[in-house]
Amino acid sequence: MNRYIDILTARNSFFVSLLLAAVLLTFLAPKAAVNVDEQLHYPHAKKVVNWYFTGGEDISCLETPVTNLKYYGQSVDNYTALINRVFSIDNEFRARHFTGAFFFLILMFFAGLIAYQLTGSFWVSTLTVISMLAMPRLFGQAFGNLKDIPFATGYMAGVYFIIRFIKELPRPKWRTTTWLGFAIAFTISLRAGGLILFAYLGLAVVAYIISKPFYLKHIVSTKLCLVRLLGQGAVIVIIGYFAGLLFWPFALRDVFRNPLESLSMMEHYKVSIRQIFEGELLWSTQLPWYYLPKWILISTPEFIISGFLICIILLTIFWAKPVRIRLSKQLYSELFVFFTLLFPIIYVIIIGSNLYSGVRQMLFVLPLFAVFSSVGIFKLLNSNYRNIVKFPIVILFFILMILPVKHQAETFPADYIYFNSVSGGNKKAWSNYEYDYYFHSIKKSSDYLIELIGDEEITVATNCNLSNYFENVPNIKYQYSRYLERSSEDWDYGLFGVNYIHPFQLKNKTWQSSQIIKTFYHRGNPVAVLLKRSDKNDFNGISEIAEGNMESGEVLIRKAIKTDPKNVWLFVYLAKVYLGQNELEKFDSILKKGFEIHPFYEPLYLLKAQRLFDEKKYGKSLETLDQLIEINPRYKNAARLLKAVKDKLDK
Amino acid sequence: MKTVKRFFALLMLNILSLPYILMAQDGGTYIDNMDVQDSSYMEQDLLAGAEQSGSNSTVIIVVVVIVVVVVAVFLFLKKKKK
Repeated sequence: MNRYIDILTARNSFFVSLLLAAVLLTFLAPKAAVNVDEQLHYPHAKKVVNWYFTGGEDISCLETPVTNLKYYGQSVDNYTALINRVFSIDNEFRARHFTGAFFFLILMFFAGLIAYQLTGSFWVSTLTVISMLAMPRLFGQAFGNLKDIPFATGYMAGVYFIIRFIKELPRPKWRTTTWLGFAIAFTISLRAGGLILFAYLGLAVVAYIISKPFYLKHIVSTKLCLVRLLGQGAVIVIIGYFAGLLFWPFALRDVFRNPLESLSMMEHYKVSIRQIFEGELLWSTQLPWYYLPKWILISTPEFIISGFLICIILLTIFWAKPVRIRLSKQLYSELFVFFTLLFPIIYVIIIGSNLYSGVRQMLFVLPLFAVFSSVGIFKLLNSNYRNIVKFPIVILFFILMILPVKHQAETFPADYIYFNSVSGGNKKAWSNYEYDYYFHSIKKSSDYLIELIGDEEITVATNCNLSNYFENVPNIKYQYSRYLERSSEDWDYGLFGVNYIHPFQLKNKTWQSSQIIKTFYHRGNPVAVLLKRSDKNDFNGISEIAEGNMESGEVLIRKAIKTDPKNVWLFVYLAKVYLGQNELEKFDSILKKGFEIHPFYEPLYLLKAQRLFDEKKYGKSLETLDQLIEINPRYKNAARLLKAVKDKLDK
Repeated sequence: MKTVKRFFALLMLNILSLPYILMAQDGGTYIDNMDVQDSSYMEQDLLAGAEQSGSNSTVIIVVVVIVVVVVAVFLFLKKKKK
């Protein structure tokens, strides 16, 4: 009786933790930031919805040669577009953020259920929920990331129902079977990578049957059981595969070939994005194999790492015991769940997948870290170690939990930018690792700008696609501009995220414009800057040069450099003018100054190589181009000169 | 006479500076655009083959993993029987 009451209390605690999480998510959803991927996927989702509404006539959702969006199922994005359209919801992003919060809640629910399956205790489920709330890389993306968080939800649901299915063998319930089919369908509907759940199911069934051969005999000899199991397999395959394609126009066009084409595409994603990693600026396709393990190590909260290590140590000790003792009913579940944590990580390393944005694309394995961390604490408390050993460790676990929670409270809605103290924390990570890759800091800075300008008619330039912040402000016109090349655009105020800037410039403070009127910080690190243009000499000078008026352009740019002396783009244009006028001494002097500001800036190398080419020093020109290619192998503007040099050298 | 001399001097100056003008023009054609991209959609490196591509072998890897796990379970059970 006492035990029953204990279990009931634990179960209640799990649901209470979920209820509190729901309240917290509901409270925070309207305050969440819009991320740059939302501005990419949501317009596509609207096109997908239109494909259905027009009966397949509007095929704009299938024509995505640049963005590759047709390869994404992105069903949750599509649902939000459908809901917003049907109910004519004004604040579309708010509806999306509530949707994200809902799926995060479901994610915690399934993670808690997996923890229960592994331990038989709902206290562990409760601890798992609390742990996930205190994981900034997970919780911080709960609202706006409608592809990775729901994918994690589907993945966890799939793993949970596979465990249930295996435990119910040789006569799994039809309810479990159907739910498993829908979990797989939902996961596939987000990304073709969800197909892996079929492989997990196959593996779990085969391993189970081999471990218990008498079940195989029972199944084969009992016709009814065999037919039932075959039927259930067919249901899982049919629901799991086909239901997952219903809201995915590209897949519906060829239900067998296109999802596999999408899977292949995702595994070797061609879109390369420049990333700061270990203090270097690299294309995501150049990143080393240990990119993902290192990111997991530096961005996972300390308490999760400690709980996970405890779990691994205790499991290792357990495995060292005699075989008879090891064979518990939890064995297969533990091994299977551990496999679903490790396999995706090892798999993407082996195939050399193109990863970027830290652990974002692999968010679906993070809840499993929370599960095993909680299991570790549970196992420690239930172990035979003396209390003097156990309790200090458990207390330390909860003390460590304060670190990420404090970080989240201080930095929301940019709380996902978390680096643990093992890596040296956020202070050390800034300029060495990708920081605010989702541009969450633009939310607060745009609010500041809107308040600052009042009714003034302005054009604001930003280096991201978050025009949504200005859509309802009629006196603000949005303009996209890269930060370093900002002088080429016509704007009054510039709101730039500190992104895609070379670590050299960040560390040596040569990135900071003298036009900055406010810097926005995150844990003491600059994440966004607001610029006010005092004059437009830079823009007018570049325009003059573009029209061939070199002399007037030169005068204006010289004036602009006086106002903004670290604007390397102006040095590029001035050097270009002098090269065109054959004023080589001036050219060399300006190029030197440009290199002092940014020694890795591609246009400066291109100009230097051009000068050497003009002097017929083809070998040296090629050397300079080689340096340039080493810095940036994808700098396409160097292609023509490279070809010309190679032609001259007969290479 | 003075005007003729000036004319010829100017003509010679232009002829002599022609190679420089041509060179500058030739050079200018390669640096029309200098902007630096932050992301590259479907573009390849400047040097062909510089980008390493992983093997497209999902099925092989999945099958290998299943075989390894199955063999491990089999050996484990065999040991247990002993």
